[in-house]
Amino acid sequence: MVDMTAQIRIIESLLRQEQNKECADCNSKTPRWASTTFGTFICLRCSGKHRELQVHITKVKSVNLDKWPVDLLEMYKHMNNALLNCYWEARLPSSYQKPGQNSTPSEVMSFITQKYVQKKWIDTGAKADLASLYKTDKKKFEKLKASYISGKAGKDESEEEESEDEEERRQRRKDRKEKKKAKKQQDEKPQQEKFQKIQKQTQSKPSAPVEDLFSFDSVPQKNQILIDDFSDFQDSQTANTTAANNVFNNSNAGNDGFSDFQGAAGQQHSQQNNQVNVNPTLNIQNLYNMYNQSPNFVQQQAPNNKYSALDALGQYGAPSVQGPAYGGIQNPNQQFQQQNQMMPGFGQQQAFGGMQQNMGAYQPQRQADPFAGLQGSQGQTNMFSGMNMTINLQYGQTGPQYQNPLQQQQQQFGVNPNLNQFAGNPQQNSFPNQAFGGLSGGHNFHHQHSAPQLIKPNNAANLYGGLVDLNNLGGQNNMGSAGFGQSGFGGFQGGISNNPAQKKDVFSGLLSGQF
Amino acid sequence: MGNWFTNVWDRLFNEKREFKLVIIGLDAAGKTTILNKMRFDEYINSAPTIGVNTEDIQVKNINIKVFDLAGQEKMRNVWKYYYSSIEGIIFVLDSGDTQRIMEAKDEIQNLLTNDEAKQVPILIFANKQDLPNAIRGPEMTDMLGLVEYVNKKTPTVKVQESSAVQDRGLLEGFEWIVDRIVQLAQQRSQQ
Repeated sequence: MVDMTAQIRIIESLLRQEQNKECADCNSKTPRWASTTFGTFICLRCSGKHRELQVHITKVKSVNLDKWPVDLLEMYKHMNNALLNCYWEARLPSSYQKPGQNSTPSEVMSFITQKYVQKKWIDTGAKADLASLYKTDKKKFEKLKASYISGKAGKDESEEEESEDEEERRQRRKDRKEKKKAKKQQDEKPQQEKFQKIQKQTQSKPSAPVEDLFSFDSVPQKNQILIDDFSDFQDSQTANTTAANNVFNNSNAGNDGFSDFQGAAGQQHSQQNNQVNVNPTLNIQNLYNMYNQSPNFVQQQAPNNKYSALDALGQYGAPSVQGPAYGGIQNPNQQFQQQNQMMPGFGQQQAFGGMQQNMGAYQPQRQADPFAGLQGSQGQTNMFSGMNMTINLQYGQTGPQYQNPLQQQQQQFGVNPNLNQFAGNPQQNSFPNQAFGGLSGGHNFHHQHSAPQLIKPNNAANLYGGLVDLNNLGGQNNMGSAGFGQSGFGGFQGGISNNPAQKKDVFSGLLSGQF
Repeated sequence: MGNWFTNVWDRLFNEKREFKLVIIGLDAAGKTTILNKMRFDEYINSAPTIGVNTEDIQVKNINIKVFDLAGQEKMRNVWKYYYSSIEGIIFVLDSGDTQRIMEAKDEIQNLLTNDEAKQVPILIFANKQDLPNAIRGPEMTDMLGLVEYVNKKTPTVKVQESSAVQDRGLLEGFEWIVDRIVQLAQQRSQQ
């Protein structure tokens, strides 16, 4: 047995690998459990399903609540989720949708049964899965592993960033090693190299969709710019790509959720904080970029609008740990999916046309679409509303990773046109035509409330809904992302009318959701 | 004989007394599933317990508050804090998990040597008897080194075969432990 803190540190470092950031059996972002039979990291829900299959098929251990034998840890160092799925999902049709947040328990169960018990999609070319090969025949294991890695090597795109990342990781590992015995040191060196290899091959995945929301034709290479500007603040892991950042953030939220149970996660937390502080800035930068690149837009509409929005982001987004302000912006892929899926009632809908929620590539014409509305009669506000909505949704999205039922509520929220209620709150009424009365901070509610004045009620609702959400959520996100989702939505579903009572509902909903 | 028994029962009801039981055992043994089965009378597949589940159930018309604790290794440390405030302990075993029987045995030995835990009846569910390779009750008793405890004149330890999926043995087990708790309470009041 390894010392518990050492064990957790090792596993945490494994979980930080890009390939291990998603549950092996569904798309949950924070696997905190492991199927030790298959060598995968899985989420809580899937671990329940695995346990139901009984121990002769799969054994489940918790990352931080169980003690792991040394040889098991050793095995996990040689593999990762992405690699293992090369075997288990080798023949999984690309059209097949793996279980996600919304999947019912029975869907998850049937997927897991098909995957591991019926072995429906296994790589028939291989003799056995990697984990059992590792236990029985190391040579064949290495061979199979090499073949999987080389099979994917062509997709590698982000080697430079990766090498930096590796540098950091190696450094950290060195630190850890110093504390360990000399004997252990010799063991680990060759493994690191193997690790790097694997890492390189899958890392390319998340970086693909980075061409994001704001990459108008006129804003080339935004990502590079951003990274250059802020790289001082980032540790090497965040320096990867914005998409990678986003993934990391998501997983952080998860860690937070469970950190009560962790003894030794402190180190990781400090890292999270770094990132979190940086990201909102990045996003504000995003916004500025956007404005700079589309001056028409800014001139036509009250400039105040811009500032108030930035204000809101700055004041509320920045202090928040998880960053509702930027989540959506940074991962356009997800964002658009969500948006499309969740807001059939809004103006943007046409722009999104028949976009389906799929995990496929983010296509160029889709990038342009959301902003098509900007030029139209609905103008800037519409854009804002779109932005805010996405922020909002993105933010909410972090929640359900732990609690599936909440996701559905969120969707309802997205669809719900009742956001109108925000347009009619008392504060707004007291500044009827004063678009952005006070720019100075503090009264952010006023700013936001006044925003809708510029536009049609419907859009106002969008705008306001987004901003308010952002605000309220800013403070809570750290631990209660799940709680947030629930409350936010409960509240929003409250009513259609514009009366203040409804507003109360909204906030009480938010509060009650905080646990 | 019947007289004192009624007395005890009367007293239980009049005082509105409530038993507290704790369900412990290795992870994935079926603790939460047993509790759900007893409480809702249906089989519910559950995710690993984080923290504790509490349910009120009724056995032989007695209200029982049951604490279902998590079984992961790190969480086993908290078991002992419950021993002082409960009337009985239920230990659940996965009879199909032959590799971890010894791990379970260690935990049971800890239980039997704990000053507070050995004061109360201990029911051991040899659960998952529906599995084809499940270890049967008598064999399990032997493997766990409990033969001498079970063969006492008034045993405070019982190994009960069970299957929450098939609803086998659960009620018997709970009835045994309730009887034994009542009996122990009666003995103590006589002294």
